[in-house]
Amino acid sequence: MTDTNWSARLRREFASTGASPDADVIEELAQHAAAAFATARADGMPPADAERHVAALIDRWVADDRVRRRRPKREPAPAPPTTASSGLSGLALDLRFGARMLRRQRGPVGMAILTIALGIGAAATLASVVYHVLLQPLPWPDASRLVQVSETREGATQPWPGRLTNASYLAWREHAETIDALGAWTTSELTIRPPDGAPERARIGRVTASLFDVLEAAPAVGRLFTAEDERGATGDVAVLSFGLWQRQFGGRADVVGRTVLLNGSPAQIVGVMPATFAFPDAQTVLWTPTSVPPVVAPDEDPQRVSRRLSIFQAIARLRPGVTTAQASVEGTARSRTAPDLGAVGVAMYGSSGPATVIVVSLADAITSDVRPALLLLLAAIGLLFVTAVANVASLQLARTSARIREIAIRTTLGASGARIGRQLFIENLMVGVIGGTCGLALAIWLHRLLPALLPADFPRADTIAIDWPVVAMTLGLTVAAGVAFGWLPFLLARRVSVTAALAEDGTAPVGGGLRTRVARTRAIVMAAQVAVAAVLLVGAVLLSRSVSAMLHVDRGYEPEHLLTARLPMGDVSFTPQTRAALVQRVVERAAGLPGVRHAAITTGLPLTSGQGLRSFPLPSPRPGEPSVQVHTSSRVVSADYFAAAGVRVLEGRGFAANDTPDSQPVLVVNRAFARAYLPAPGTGRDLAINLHEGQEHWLVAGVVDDIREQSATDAPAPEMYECLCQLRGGLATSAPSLVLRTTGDPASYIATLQRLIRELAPSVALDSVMTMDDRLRLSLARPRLYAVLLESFGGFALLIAGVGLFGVLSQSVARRRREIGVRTALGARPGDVARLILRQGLGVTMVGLLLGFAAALALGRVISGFLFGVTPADPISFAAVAAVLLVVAALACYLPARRAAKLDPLTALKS
Amino acid sequence: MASHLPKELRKGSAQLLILALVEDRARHGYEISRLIAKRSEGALDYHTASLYPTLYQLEDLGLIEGRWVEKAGQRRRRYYRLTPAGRRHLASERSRWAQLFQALNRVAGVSRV
Repeated sequence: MTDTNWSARLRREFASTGASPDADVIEELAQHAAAAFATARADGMPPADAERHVAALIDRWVADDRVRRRRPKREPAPAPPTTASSGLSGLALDLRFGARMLRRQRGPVGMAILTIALGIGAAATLASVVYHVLLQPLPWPDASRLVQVSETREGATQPWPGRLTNASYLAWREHAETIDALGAWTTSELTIRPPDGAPERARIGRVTASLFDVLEAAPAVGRLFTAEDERGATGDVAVLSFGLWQRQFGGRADVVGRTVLLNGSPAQIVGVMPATFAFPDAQTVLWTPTSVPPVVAPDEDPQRVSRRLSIFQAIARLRPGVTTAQASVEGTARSRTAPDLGAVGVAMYGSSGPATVIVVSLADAITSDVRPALLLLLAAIGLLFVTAVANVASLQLARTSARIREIAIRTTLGASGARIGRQLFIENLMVGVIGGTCGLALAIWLHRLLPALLPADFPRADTIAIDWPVVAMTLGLTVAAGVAFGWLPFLLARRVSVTAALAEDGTAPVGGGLRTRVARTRAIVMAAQVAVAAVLLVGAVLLSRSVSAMLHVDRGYEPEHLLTARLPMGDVSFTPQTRAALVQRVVERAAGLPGVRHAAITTGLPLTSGQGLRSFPLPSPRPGEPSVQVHTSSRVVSADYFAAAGVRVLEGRGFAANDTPDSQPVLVVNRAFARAYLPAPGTGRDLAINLHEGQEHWLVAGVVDDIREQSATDAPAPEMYECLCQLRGGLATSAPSLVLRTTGDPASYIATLQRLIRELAPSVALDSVMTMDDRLRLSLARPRLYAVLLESFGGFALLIAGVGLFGVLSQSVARRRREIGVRTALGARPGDVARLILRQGLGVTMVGLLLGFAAALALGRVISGFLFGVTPADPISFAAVAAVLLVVAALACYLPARRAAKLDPLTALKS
Repeated sequence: MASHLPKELRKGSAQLLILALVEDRARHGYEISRLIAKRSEGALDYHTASLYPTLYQLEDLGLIEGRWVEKAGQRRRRYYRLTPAGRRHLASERSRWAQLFQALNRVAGVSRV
């Protein structure tokens, strides 16, 4: 006997006593009766006995008052708002109804809210970074008129991006029509010591008096610099930053007139800047005046004296209405009237061609390094956000299509399509608003993390904050998302065909995998999601592989087991001679430390600035060319440097203990130098160059390998090395770097090294103590950040795609139950059914994957600027992404496929 | 022995049993009746008839909550689960029964049911 028979019997029995219990009670009791009957039969009871057994049960149920008087206990379905309601009261009803509908579907709604929250949180954070770093005006009055001024030479082999020479600066400053003011600055690191305070190592700005005019900045206390200060007529003076004033002088009002020691030399404080003033960056805590020297002074004979070259950064304030292009034209014209810089100019630029002055907006100049990356990341997150919205739209579409019968019934009862559409739209908007609120909370949290995430040299990082524009933008994104994913279900609801929906009985026709419009739309959305995930993942893998390649590329030295530190000896008490002597002592003692294999100094450590430049003529190694002008960087190193840094000596020898101030002066050059300027072999060549007084002939003792000094992408440039051991004039460089090659972890030698320096030179504070590995990692902070961000975007996209695929397939299995039942009844095995679902899921994935790969290949040009050691079409990256995506897709298909395979054909067909 | 329990005690014990059975997870009526029969090794089988009346009464009291649940490949079934009030009631009933048995034990040497 089936449930149905028992229901009928129960209903009869109850009716005979005059009771008509709730339908739920009948259904529940009928199920029990059927089960009890089945169990009794299974226990071996004959059918008649089993029936009597159950009949006795029914009699007692029917007799029981508590069953007869049972009130209905069904969960009431939310009553939809009536068609009559309109306007505001209708809206309130819609909102209440929507809230109840959402509560009833916690799983899919929670998924949608989570997706939207993550998408909006990430998008709002990155948009805020872009807004504050790239779009906000700089914090100076009328900042749009501020420009960076720099120059280059026609045919320059060594560009100096962002730098201006004194020749161009002075020529333009004297006769300027397109700019109001021109200011220049350099920065340096030195030791600041207030008369009664602790010394601190800090960055200072050496600025022209006009720099403050360009910025239109005013002091908080005291005065700024004047032309007299620039000339040094007033003695050494300084302006403090607000922070330094508070920190070292307790914010005292009588600070003006007091002195501060800069590298041991006193300067009088004349003013304090307001707290908001930070130039060129927030790390600069003090400013001293500097003047731009003339190439040739008016009282000098240009034929006799050597030309003075100085190089610095400069900014100008455009006159109102003047464009950067106009200023650039004027600057170029003026700079070509400047006195020729002669050989020093050639040494600088590697060319004696005419100068071109480049004028760009200061805001653009400051952010030019990060702009391409930020825009790339913004595009990536835009893509991700669209995917998230599409995913939610697809989820909502599924919810709507599951409600087609409800919608059809309501339509038959007189609700207009627009009315129902509005209801759905409001529901979706509610999902959007809740998701957006969570997204805003996420964005606030991410903003707190930003200072730790962004590299220290990230421009304008301190200006990034959650403010009203960011909140407004987040709200805008929220509404846009809500409208976007409310729109699809809305369209669907308006097109519901009442007869079709009611006749179809909520189940798909046989073979209906992709037959309905909703299913097709969802499949397209799905493929697009996979495509986006593929694009982002390919980008992420390419960037990660680039970072890895940059970390592990052969840079010409061995960064492992290397401890480095700067030895600042800028204090006025040092002379070149005492510096050389101290350095020599430090190197000898450090080399003797247990666990230290080599110790050396260099005036130009890789990944730091500080190398010198030299230019001199040599006889050309090529026939038919009388001479060649050498442009080379130049470093002073101690004898053991090449061994300490792990630089390979290719030819001849490095420096040795028997190279002394009185022995034959020797040079070591790198491979690029030898190739460009020396006949092969370079070793043993005698170079007639006057590097130092009384040392006019230099022998090339050896050739070393090229070093990538700054970045892995550097092209090898000529370099030459002199030995500290042969310098007669002492060490001119005030802050050489110490290099220790250790047997164990170099970081564990930091304390030992600091103790040694304290002992040998108590007044010297060791600076920038770092392992070379850390320097390398730090130099890659930005590419690593970009890679990590793109990886997390890619991971998020992968998650969205996986969840989306799972949702689509689960729904498809639920809708195709009847079809699957028919197939199984006709002999399909569970494996066949599982394959059917897998084919559907993996088919969509493959289409998305191919689309994504096509897009990734097309976008290769965009990302190629960020790549190193891999091509945009790197097959390993593409293969890895394909593998990951297919594994995720297979996982997403697994559960729905298993459910389909386990479907009992009888139940599937009966339901 | 259980079938000789006085009527009031039996009624209380039926409620306690049902509450205890749906404590960890929701169960449907037939499952509950089978479990009662199985765990009491047939001694409490007579409850099957009054199971649904008791369930309805417990639900009216707000101690349990019934819900129709549809599982893939099955007919929908009504599952009962404990409400927070039911959980509190179960805890207090348990301690009351424990006290009763302790008292009986002390007086008559009756061991546990």
